[in-house]
Amino acid sequence: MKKTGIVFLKEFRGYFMTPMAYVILTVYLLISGFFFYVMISHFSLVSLQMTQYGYSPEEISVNEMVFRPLYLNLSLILLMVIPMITMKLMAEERKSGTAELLITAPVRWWEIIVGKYLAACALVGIMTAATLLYPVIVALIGDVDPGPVLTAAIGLFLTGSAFASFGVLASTISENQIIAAVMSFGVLLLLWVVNWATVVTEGALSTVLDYLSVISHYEEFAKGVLDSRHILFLISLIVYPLFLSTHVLGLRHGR
Amino acid sequence: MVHVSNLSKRYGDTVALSGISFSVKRNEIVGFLGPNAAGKTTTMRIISGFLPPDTGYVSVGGYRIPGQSIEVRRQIGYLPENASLYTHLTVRSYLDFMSSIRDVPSRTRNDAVEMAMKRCGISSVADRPIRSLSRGFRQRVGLAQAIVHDPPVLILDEPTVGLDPKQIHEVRNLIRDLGSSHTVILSSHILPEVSAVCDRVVIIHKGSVVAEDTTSGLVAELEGALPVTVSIRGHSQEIGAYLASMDRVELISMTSTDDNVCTCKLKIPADGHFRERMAAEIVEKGWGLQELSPGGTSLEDVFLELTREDVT
Repeated sequence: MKKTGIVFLKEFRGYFMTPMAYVILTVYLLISGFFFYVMISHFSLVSLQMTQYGYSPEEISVNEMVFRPLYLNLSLILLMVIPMITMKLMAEERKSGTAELLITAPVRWWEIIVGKYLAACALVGIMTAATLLYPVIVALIGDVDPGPVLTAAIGLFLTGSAFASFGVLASTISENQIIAAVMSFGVLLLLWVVNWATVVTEGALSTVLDYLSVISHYEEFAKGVLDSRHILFLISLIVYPLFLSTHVLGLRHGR
Repeated sequence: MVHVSNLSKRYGDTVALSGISFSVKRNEIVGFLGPNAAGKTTTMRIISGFLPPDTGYVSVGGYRIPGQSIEVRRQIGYLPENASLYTHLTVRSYLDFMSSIRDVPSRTRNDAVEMAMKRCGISSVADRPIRSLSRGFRQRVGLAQAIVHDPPVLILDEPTVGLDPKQIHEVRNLIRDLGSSHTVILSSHILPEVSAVCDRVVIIHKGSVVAEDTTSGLVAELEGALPVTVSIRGHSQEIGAYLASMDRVELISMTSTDDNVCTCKLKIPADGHFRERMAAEIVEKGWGLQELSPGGTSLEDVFLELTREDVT
């Protein structure tokens, strides 16, 4: 357990010792800021129309019109950014040979995997926390229902953490960082859109596909629902890839 | 202390190790010698817990691989071949990380890091990032991380690669020094290094142990089987005839130069007085004896003899 902390600190500091974390945070905040700007502008336009004409084509709610779509979009950005955060975690060490000294230290395989995974999660946590700035800005000048925003943020963090877990697995499997990123991106995108197939399937298969889709769970968070079923689903998406990664290390380096 | 039993390892169709066994006693320095691709690195990786063996086992201080990898890793300090380090860290923070992950308690960690840096002569670069260091310094940082937690067993894969002659000398002294209180296995293809540092030599070739003995024992074993070189000034045909007429002597090669000097390689019996008698006879015949040297009693010759590709 202590070793997990040591590995975590090394990786987390590593993100900030290279331009990596700064570039990713900048890009992420730039895009999320752009989304926020577009949505809040649209919202103010609609509100303005309502005050002028006395009616509105949509129900006016800053939560429904700004934050719900914003958080849905943010999760899509994470889908693209997280493979880039996680791709180096194991692959870089194997490629450069530094893994040899990490592996031959008295560390358990899960301690390495979890330590590295938590470093990526911490970065996801920072990204999620930064997005809470937008509701705070709106709350200063208007009314925001904090509940749905918080559940959306929790959902975003959990979803991002699940993405990171797949990223760690891909990085453990391949020592090529690009391949690791492409693999995790591909799997995540598939998990994202797998419920589209429910259009052409029916019965049990349709239910299963819908259940597997990350977005159908995440949407519930964005609506303001904090349901243990959805939390459990995302946690299982976190645990399983980490378990597999540990197993891969065990196969490669023995017991 | 270290017991390697019947290790084998394949990479796909390539056999890297086929049944290697040897033992190393406590506080002994053993040289692991072999040409490139003999299986030295693979063996060391298996002992250090980086690679699982296909068959066989390693036991270190009573713990076994496979099965107790983490206990074995706790006993070992390992310097891989061309050790890759985290180049963005400074020497001190790198050693601090390595010692913390190797269970050095936090209150003694600073001292351990300072001590390791001092022993390896890198205190002057303690706060420089590793990427800015020369190859020799990096190699010594690698050595420092192997000893920072004061492990009972040291596995050093080509520890002097990339060092200049002065540094090589220092590192050899350091290894000899460490050998008094540590069990050391070091690999090398540089023979003088092994004969200078090691108590015992294990020679491997094509994945098997071909010889295992003390340095002097190996040399003694092969003395006699190795050729001597004779340079004689005189008529080359007469010399040739004389050498051919001698009992139990095998003429391997003979070259003569313009000023009538013949240089011959001979296999002679391993009888100590044979060379003396031969020298006396040559002088008696009125030829000039310029050289009569045992061509092979160095480890280098033993090595070449043992790892010679059999011509079939």
